[in-house]
Amino acid sequence: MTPSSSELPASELHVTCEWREKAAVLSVSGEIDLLSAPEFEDVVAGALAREPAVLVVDLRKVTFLCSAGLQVLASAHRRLADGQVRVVSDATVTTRPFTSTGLDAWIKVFPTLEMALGTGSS
Amino acid sequence: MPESAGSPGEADQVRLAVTPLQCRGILATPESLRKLRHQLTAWALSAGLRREQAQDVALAGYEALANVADHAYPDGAGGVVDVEAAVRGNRIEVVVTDHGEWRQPVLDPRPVALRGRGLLLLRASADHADITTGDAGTVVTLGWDLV
Repeated sequence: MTPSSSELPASELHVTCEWREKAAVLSVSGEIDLLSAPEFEDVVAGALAREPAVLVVDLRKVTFLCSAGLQVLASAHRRLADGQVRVVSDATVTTRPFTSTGLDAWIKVFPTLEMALGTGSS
Repeated sequence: MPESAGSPGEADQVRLAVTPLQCRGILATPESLRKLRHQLTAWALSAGLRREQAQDVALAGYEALANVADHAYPDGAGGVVDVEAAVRGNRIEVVVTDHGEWRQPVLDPRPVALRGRGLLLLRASADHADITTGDAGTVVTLGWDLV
């Protein structure tokens, strides 16, 4: 097997990319604001370039998310089939930006990674 | 004991002791706006807000600031912004002022628009939001009720 996990260093933002079969899982920590959104966008673009069927973005370690971050994910949504960009979030700070803008109609927010991948039993 | 300013029975007037936050003439760069957000969060926590409320203050305040950075100075000149946060009566008030031109977001007719969520977030995160545009610039006044 080839390594499926890689560290992507970033100044404040930290992202790891891991593959689960045809799903790319980005685990993000830090703050997604105007300063870090370009880096976040690069990482998302890098994952999309490998043509995943599903892109799961785990935001559970993200402490701030603003519209600049939503823009990156809305853009990713346009590149994949409907429902194939998914978010993992278990805190208001990362869930509410999706619900209060209605973006959660297209990008579903799941409380666990397993649920986002559709592999969980619950 | 803090001075109760002649209002017996209002034990929670301790909030009046919170020093307002004032940042004037800040160059609106992504770096400085992040720093302002951190200051705003720290101030909101020191004013006695719960963490979730402080996060709302940070988000709404930041979206107002981000709009300045994004739109207020289209000629690319470095724009400056003022931020003030204070406890006024039974309300937390955050005022973001710029001296450029506020732009309404351009509507994107596609179903999943890329841009234009900043104002939605701003309004959803604050109990009160008022945006006043004039020749001299824009004033965004955000309020949260203290309950």
